[in-house]
Amino acid sequence: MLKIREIGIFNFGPYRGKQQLILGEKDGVTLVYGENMRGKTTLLNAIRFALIGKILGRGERTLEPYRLMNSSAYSEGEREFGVALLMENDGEKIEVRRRCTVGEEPDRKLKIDTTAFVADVPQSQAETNDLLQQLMPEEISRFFLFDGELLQQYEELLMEESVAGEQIREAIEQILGIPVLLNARQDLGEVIERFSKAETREAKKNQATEKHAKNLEAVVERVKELKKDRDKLKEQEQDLADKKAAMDNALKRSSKTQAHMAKLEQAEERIVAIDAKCDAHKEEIRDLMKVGWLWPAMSKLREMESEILVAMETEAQKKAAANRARLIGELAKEAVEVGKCPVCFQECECDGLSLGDGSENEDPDSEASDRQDEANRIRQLSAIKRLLNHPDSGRAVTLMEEIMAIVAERAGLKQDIKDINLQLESEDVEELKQVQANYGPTNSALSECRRALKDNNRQIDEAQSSVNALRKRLRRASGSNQSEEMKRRELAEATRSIFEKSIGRFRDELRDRIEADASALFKKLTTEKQFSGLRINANYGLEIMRDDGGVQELRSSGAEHIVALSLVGALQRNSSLTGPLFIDSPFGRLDAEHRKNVVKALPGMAPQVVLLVYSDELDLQMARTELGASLLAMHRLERRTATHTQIDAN
Amino acid sequence: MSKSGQIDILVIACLERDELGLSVPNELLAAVLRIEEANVSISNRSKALQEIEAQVSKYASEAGED
Repeated sequence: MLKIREIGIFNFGPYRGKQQLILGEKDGVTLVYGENMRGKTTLLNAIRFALIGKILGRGERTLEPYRLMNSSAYSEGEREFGVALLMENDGEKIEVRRRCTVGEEPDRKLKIDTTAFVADVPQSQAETNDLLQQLMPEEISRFFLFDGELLQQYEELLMEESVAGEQIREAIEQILGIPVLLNARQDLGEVIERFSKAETREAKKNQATEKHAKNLEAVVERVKELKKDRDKLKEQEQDLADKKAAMDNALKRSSKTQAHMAKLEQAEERIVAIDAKCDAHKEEIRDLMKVGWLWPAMSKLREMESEILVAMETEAQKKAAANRARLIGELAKEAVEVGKCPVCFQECECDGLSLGDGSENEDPDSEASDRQDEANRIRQLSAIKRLLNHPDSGRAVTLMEEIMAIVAERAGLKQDIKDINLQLESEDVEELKQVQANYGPTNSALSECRRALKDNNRQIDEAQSSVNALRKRLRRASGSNQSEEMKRRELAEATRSIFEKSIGRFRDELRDRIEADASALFKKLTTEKQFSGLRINANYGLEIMRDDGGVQELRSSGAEHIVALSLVGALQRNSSLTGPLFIDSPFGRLDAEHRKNVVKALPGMAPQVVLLVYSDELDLQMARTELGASLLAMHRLERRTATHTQIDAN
Repeated sequence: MSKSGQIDILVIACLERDELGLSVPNELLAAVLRIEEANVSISNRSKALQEIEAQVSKYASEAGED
């Protein structure tokens, strides 16, 4: 088991001069805390740099190590910085030192000397590289040195065909020790090929087996060629998958820039749309203005129209009254003449009564004048109506108001565009545009490569079947004179098929163990009583199970965080490599109760845990209480100047 | 890999061997796993290949003698 005893840093990031963080020999939790920008992430990077020679920035971007030279030391003429780790691996004392010398401006070329010491004996460069690769392979370092802010990336394991998820899955399998079986399968395949060649060579010497041997040799050669193609395709696939993952990361990192660019595009599109609307409004106003001379008279015309209508109505009423009087007169006259009412047929006693027929009041001159008046009114009304049919000023006023609103909106949009462009000046827009342009073609190339790989695998399977058939024939033809080479090849094949089958079984067993351990840890960490545990999928993605047997589909950021911590804890417990656990900012957006649960669970996650937190993230008194004897030490990162942080022990 | 991890894999390999009905000695399975474990992080496979080849040859001749 790997343990870090001491971390020595020199002019590394904000750590000016020589400084040490002593972790000691006991198992337990060490707490390192400080305000923002005091160098917690740099401390994690110092360990990462010592073990794998890399430093990571935000979003897992690899940074040039020269950036880690303490700036005030550099400006005072110093050119060296470095890190030394004193470790113990299975009882053996190991020390790794990386000493960096920064060149002069503008290149600041960096020279790095790395030396490992095993039991105080310096190792050669090759031995040092092998030792470091064994101590902490880069691919699995994420499980030992991890940034709590990146815990969300484990959600990718639940997504089908996620490149990032695939990379994490491979890293998980590596930490669980599956490569031992994968390598056994591959190496035995190579050994089989060697034995097979020797076997064919021998068989060609014998007349009874010569023909089969030659055929076999040809097909084996074909398999070899196909496998070469497969290796190339796999390399290509890996390369494309890496590119795609890098692009996915870049897109995630630049979400703010993307949002700004989308807003900019929206604003520009909106300006084009409202400009077109404004032009259309202006055109309509121009048309309307052709009858603009009428608008002042419009209300007078409406008044006249209404007066004419009233006059016509009065005239019509007058006419109706005259008609009614004439009709009554006629009826009365008839009744007098006949002596009977023409309506109800009652007898009338109207002897000597003389009545007119109602036409006595009619004046032919007056009637003609009325008709003339009526005709005039109709003419006037028709003329007024024609004029009133033209649009009035109301529409033009509405359009003018809309134009004013558009002008105001346009000014606002122009200001937005100016602001966004100002923000974009500090963001890498060109890089983002390039990523966006390359994303589609890379994705297509990756799909095409995977199709080719599938086709290649099918061809290999077919050729391999032919090889097996030819080997059977060769065996039959050999009779009882089996060569040593044949025996070796057959034993190697049997061994390989055992390991081949073991891979799936081992994976299933590991998944079961991870599921059980992650569930147990999850139940300790979560405050939600209705969650019953976690369920693992083929990619080691974990779903939250409720006590009603259902899957919790919607997961909050906090829940995601807890699931990821549970997975990391379970992986530590089942890892083929046991080592220290350095966690930078593990609390994310967790509430106080969850933080307490995480702190309580830390000692069980790994024998050596180092927690890097910013001061407001953790209640130190609570940590002391919850960790009890498991808390080995607390170190404060104290600000001396903006470029000088001092590690203090509490 | 821890000792218990190595034993887990060996037990699985032995179970698979029995299910497949193959006569591969425990010692060969253990030897291959040991070699792979020692070389797991080394990308140059030639040393591992030589060692596996030697182990398979050894057990193939022993089987011939039986």
